[in-house]
Amino acid sequence: MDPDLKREVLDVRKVIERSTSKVSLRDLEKKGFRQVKVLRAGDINQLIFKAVQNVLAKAPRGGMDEEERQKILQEAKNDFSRMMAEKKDLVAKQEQIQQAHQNLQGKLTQVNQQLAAEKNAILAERQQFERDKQSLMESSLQGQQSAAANFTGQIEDLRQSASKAEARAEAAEAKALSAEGAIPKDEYDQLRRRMNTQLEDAQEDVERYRKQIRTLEEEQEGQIKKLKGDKINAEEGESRAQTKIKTLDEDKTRLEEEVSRLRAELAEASVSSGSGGISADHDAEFQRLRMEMEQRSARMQDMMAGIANSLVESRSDGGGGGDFSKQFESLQKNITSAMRKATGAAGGNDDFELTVEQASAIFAQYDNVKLETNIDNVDLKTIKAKGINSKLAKLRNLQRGG
Amino acid sequence: MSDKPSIDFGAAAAPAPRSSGPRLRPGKGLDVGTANLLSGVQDYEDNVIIKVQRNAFIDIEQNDFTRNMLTKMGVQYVILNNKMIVIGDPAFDLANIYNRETRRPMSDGMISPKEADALPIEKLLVDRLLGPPTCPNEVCYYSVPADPIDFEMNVIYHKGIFSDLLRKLGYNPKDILEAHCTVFAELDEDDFTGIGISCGGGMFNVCVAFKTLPALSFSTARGGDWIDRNVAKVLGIKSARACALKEKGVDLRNPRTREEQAIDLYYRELIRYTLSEIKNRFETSENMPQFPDPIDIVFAGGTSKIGGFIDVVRDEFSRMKFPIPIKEIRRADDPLTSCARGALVAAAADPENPME
Ligand SMILES: Nc1ncnc2c1ncn2[C@@H]1O[C@H](COP(=O)(O)OP(=O)(O)O)[C@@H](O)[C@H]1O
Repeated sequence: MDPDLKREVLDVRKVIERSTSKVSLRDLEKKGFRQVKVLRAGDINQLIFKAVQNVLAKAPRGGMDEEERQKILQEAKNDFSRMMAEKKDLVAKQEQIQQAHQNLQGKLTQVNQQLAAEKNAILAERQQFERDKQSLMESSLQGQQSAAANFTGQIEDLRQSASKAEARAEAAEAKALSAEGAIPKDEYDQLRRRMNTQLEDAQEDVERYRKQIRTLEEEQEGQIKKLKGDKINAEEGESRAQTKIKTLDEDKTRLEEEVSRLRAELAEASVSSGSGGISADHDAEFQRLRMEMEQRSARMQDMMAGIANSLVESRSDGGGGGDFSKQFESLQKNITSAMRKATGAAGGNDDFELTVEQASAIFAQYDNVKLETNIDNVDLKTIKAKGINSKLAKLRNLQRGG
Repeated sequence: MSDKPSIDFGAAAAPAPRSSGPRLRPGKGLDVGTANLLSGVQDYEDNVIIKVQRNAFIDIEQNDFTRNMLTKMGVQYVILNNKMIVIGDPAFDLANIYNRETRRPMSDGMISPKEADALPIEKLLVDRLLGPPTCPNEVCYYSVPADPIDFEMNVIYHKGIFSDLLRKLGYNPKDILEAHCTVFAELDEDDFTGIGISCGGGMFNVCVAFKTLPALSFSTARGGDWIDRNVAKVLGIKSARACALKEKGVDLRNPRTREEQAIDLYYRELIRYTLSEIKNRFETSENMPQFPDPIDIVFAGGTSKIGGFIDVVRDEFSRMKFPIPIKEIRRADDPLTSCARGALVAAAADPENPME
């Protein structure tokens, strides 16, 4: 019942109550009443309510007409369903936001894990690079020293030979001089001539040795210069690699900043739960971020692989005693091409050109990896095929020249 | 290879103990294909036993449920870098279900430097196929592609990987041209003289042999995958789907649907291209042997399995002036195992192979 109406009815009831008097049953009996009709208060209420309604309906100006009533009722209904819808909407939005929140959290965790893994990979790679570089440098130094010692020894030998030849020449001269006058003229002349040729020979020897010493010294100087140059080249290549690693590091820092920015946004988003459009924006952002990360990690992998290869190569060339300039050259070349690939410079063929040794070295990292697999528990498809004995017989026959 | 792409949920594969089958003769053949890896061995009763492993994988969500489920279903998987990688035929089925592409350890007939997961998986597959050597220094011939005429590739890397892998398994590894295997497997009646053509997934390999010796060999980058790719493109579907359509049993003599017509179209183009390349090579090569008699052309490999293949070859052949007389054009009895059998013949006949 309409609460207002109800109140009116109650008021009427009160009025009735106030205007009636209580008569005891005994008095009624005395007045000759045997039976009394009893009206319950609720029934009275009903009656009064109906009466009031009738009055209201009949009175043209006094209350609302039916149309107005319906209108009001309809408005009330509309109000109610609008409120219900709003509430439902709100709940849905809250759920949506919660979902978006969860998604973002998940993605954040993923991105963070990826970042951590990359960080570790860079670290490990860099440590390895440092170790390899160290050993490369050491072996190159050893090589340089032994080469120098070798040259010095040769020069010393030549010097000794030269001075021996000089001594021989001097001895010949002395002999010739001391012989003069002591022996007959023609015999002396003959001796003199012989001594002279010996002297000339010896002097030629000396000259030749000197020349050899000069060329050797020049060669040695050249070699040392070249080794120095190579070292500089290698260092340049390495410093370029370092720079690249640094930019990658910076990339990472930037990314981390972006992650924390996003995290802040996320926090904000979960506070201001009213705005519904955040999740789409964040999704796009994350998509972009993810793509960027993937691209970058692919490039980084390429570069790391390149650097690893160059190291594998210089190691497998055999540190110490090897041809260092060649080692440096290949290191140089590989680092350059790795850089080119990593920076995406034009003209790069993106396949590695691996040698057998490199391939094997690369494979080595999987040698001791134990993979979880059920491969041994699953039967392989097996086919029985025709025998090959007759083919083999024919082949052996042909091989024997039949 | 399954003719129908379906996962059999019913059949629970019993765990297979590592084979303790019949005693084997020394010498093994390994067909290293883009689509399939096959091993061939011989027992002492003149039987050849071929094992097949589809060379493809796909990564899926990893959890305990899928792990158990896959083992129950007899599906091979590997967990690598926290990813669950499903190997072999089911990878194709899953690719079809999820409308994704499978991943291949090898592309264009070669181990792919871009598939970082390829190496450990390939190692596992080869290990599983070959098992340990039957005796020390057992010779294993593995197939390699010939020099390609229409693209660049680094065969050295490929060879390096496989010879290293086999050596580590205890074998004495030797490489052999894929189409040379076809010659060893299919041309014994002609004193191993003729033209062998291996029609694989990633490429076609051609070898012209004279009394066992390869006189001319080359490869092209077009094979079954090329057909899949192109059919997929014209029909607007994924390659895995096109591949399934192709393997379902198409007859090139009678293409009935738009899909089959597309497949027919690209098959013809592929065959024409291959034949005309052989013709070109014959005409431009200087040291080609003089064949005293007409020779056979024999086709092997999965791509030659399609219905009407030889008819189309003969049809295209009849339209060109081939530089040497051809006796017969035919297909290997068992095109899929041909390469593995040929490699096995080469291994068993190798003087370095320990005699039993
Ligand atoms: N029944 C078939 N019809 C047509 N193509 C087939 C059929 N069976 C396999 N193939 C195709 O053969 C190729 C694989 O052949 P295979 O000889 O195993 O190649 P590979 O030597 O490269 O591993 C794939 O492209 C595959 O789709």
